[in-house]
Amino acid sequence: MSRDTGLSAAVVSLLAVLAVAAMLVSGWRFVSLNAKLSEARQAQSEAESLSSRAIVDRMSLPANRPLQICNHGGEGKVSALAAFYWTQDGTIEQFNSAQEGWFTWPLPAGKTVPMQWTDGSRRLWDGSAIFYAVEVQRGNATQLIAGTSANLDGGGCAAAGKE
Amino acid sequence: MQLRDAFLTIESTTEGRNALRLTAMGGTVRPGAAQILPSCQELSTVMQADGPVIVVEGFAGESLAEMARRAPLRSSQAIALLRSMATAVDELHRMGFVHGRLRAESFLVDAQQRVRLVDWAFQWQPPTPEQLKQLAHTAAPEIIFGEAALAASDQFAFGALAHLLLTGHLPFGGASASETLLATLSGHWSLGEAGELPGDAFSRVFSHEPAQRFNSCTAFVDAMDREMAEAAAPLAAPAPVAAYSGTYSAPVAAAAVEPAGPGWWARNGLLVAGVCAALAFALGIASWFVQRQLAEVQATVGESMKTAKWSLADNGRMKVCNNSQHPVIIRDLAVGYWDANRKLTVFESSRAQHGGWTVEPESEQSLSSLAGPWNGSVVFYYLHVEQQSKEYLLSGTWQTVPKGCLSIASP
Repeated sequence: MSRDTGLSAAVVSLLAVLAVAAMLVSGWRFVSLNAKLSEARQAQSEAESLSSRAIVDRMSLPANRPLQICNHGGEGKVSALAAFYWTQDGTIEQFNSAQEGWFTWPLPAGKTVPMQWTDGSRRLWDGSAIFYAVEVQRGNATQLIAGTSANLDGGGCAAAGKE
Repeated sequence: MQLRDAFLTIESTTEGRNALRLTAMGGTVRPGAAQILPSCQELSTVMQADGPVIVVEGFAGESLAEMARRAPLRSSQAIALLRSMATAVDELHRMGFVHGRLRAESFLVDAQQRVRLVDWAFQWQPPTPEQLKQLAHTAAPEIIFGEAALAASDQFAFGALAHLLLTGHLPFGGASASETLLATLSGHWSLGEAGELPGDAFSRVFSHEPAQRFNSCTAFVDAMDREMAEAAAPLAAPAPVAAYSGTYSAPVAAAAVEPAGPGWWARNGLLVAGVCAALAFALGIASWFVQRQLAEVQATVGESMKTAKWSLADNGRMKVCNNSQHPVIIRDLAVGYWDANRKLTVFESSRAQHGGWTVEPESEQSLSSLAGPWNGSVVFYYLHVEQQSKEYLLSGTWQTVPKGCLSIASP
């Protein structure tokens, strides 16, 4: 065996060891990624099923309708209000008047008043509702009115001051 | 002739034409529809458009829905009919329009199997949940998700109609519209009783992703036709194997004969290193692809969970936890909850003439009406509470309440 042959065998061995090591590392990474992918696909399947269920469930909820109060009694005010509504991206948001400094809406006698809330020039809640709860105050008396948008269909309104 | 479905009525006029009247919200006549002359006879020519009514050329036929109700067509008949229908839908797309409400009632078929797509001149807003129930059997997943209709969405509906013609029933079935929509979203459809349908073509046309569907309805019909022809053809005889007459000496065999040593390494070690390096490279590329897929799947999971988060499927049980040192008085309460008929129902405390609830310090209390029909079920809640002369207004969806107990310790 010549010295050259021995040297080249050593270089080749080194290259081979490096290549085998690279192959093993790549192989291990490939296998572990595949295991993660398999888990993720399982999670995806479960999430899609949940998501599908959620979409179908949401179809049972009523659509947005503009909330307005028909005041059948004397002068008063809406002293507290919370409303839940669909957003354009299909999620449900809520408006809570207490979070806006206990904002109130005047209710002139016998008038119909559309509910909405504007912060300066920005309209932050346009009055849409699928579920609402409103407290109407006249003097010391308070009336709680709650309902769904099914009660507001066809330009209907939530009746205040009517027993 | 008089036909009616959830979206349109079709009646014959005294001049022998067909008058189509919109009967559903969200539909309008395409601007200038009466000035458009379709370049294929499968699209009905609009003679007159007036408000919610259009008058189209006369065509004596029955709707595809009626035709399919009688009996499934023979495959060759169905393919011929589907070709004509595909021509109509593809031409509509070529004109830059999307149908958006493609269903069996959209097509009229006469005794000579000629076809007219009669209601192409209407355009539609995304369907309301109520309309979606009417479209449950043909709506593509993106329509169910509330997205705008695409040409590929029409193709999905076209696939459902093809299934109807070939089998006599629509592909996505369920006891209710909700179950049908769920079947669509889950991709559960049948290959027919005898598994006779061209499965590959239908799998592609019912792809969840619009981009994965065919380029056109005609391409889908071609693929079905091809697949059915291949299934009907006898199996081809296997190609003869050429007789092996040479000699073969593999490197492995040589290695087995020649003892391994420095000389062998010098000659073959480089080959081994090269093979390993190539394998490492290939595995690296494969890992990169898997990594990409993983990222995509994880993103999808995130999106789906975002939607699933808004599931308001089940009622919660109204319970409040007072972790403070002072009693809390629930002055007013209103809740929305699912009743036994899956209708969102409202309970408000004043209606039940309830005097309110007091939750003692460091205690929890389940709420329900003592005399009324409310058993504590809740999806949406609204509480007006008082604590030490301070007032708070609490509202939200019950699914966001941690551990199923509304904490009013420091609202």
